[in-house]
Amino acid sequence: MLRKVIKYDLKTRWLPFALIFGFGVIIPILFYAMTGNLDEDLRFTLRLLVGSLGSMVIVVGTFALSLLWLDSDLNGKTSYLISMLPVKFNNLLFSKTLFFFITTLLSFFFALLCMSLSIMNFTPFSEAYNFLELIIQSISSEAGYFIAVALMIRSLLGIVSFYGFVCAGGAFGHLFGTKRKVAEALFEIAVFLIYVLYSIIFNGLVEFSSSTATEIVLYGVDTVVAIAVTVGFFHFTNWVFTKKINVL
Amino acid sequence: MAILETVGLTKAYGKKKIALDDVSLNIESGKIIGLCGPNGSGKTTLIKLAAGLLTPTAGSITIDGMNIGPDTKAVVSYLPDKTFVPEYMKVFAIIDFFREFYADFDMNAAYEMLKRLDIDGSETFKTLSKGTQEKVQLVLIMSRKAKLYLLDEPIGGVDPAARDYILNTIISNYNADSSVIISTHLISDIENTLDEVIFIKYGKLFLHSTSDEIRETHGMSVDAYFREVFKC
Repeated sequence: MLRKVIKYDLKTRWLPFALIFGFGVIIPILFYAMTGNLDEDLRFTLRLLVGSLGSMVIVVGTFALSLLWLDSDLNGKTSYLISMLPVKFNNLLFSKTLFFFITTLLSFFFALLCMSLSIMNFTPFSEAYNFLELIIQSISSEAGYFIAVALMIRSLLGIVSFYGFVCAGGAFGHLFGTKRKVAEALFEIAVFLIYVLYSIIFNGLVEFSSSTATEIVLYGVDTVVAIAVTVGFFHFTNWVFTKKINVL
Repeated sequence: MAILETVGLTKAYGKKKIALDDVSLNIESGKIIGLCGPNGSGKTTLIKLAAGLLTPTAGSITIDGMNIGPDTKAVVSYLPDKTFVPEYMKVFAIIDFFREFYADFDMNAAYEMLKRLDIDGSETFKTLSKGTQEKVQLVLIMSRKAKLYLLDEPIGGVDPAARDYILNTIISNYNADSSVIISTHLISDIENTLDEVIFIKYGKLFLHSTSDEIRETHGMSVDAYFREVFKC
């Protein structure tokens, strides 16, 4: 089932992703060629700007597209077709989340490529490797490596959590009949506000913590909370779609 | 065994709106059943409950002895009253999608129907006219060898010439072990094909009878009887 769902998403939704990734590669190369005659400082600044913007567009565009489609499958135009399929909903949910998670990871790779291509100086790859080298150097110390891995895990967890948040929003809408879109929006706003409040409290605690050990404990608690909330979102979505489905 | 059985089936939207109220039905295999009633009477709600797109507020519904879930969706072929195919997909891609997900999907039957309806499978769904889109959706649904077909207003948007072909398609593509439930306002068009008729009024089961019984008992056609029962 996993293969079938991912194959379907890949077959029907590859084009917009390919366009985003493709532009992310082509535009820095074009810009590189176009700015060859400019003053070196200006050239580098402009290329850095294009690289940064391009990377942002790739990551944000891919993420936004994934969320839109995920929402559409659960509570939008394609929810009819999805709800008619003879598959267990938890399998479907897992397959879809995995597919969009992979596209998001790909977007990071292409964002990095976009940045590398933008700041290369003479040959397409020499400076790109230097750019990567900078990252490798920064994580080469033990502490740097630990922080990098922790940040990466936390970011990936954040992405999955956001998918869970959108799924739960779509599922929540199902409980409110014709007012499902309003209910979905209110749910998402409420959860967002709770998240903002949580972040303020958490950052306050980190700021006033007296030792590094306390900070580590706080970050550990934060990760556990994030995992619990993410699991909660997916469980709630699965429960609604198996016990309370309401496709109007 | 009944292909579709409901006991005290009730569906409420919120606290005030009861779409379906205590409906108990027993539908046997090998029948074509007309599901009739005015707008808002609960026809679509009943079909959606059977298709697994809604959950009942009270009562139970089973298909082929199974509770509604992935197993029943595998044996039920459901045509919604609105567009369910993603508009950006090509017709051939949609057929491929159905073949992938439904074990009972007959690819050759689908191609044959497309050909007879003169539909170009390489076209994107959104570029087709509304009537042709409805035909494509019907082709997808009738190309399955399902045990129960649930058709919600299958002929509402197509021209009268295509209606005959679609009705013939429905009749010729279902087998003796399966049943077809057709929800429609256009009773006169399908009256001759119906074995049984269900009337739903204000969410309640008003009548479940054979077409012949209605004609014999009331001395009028099903269409005429419908008009009499539901006249404003």
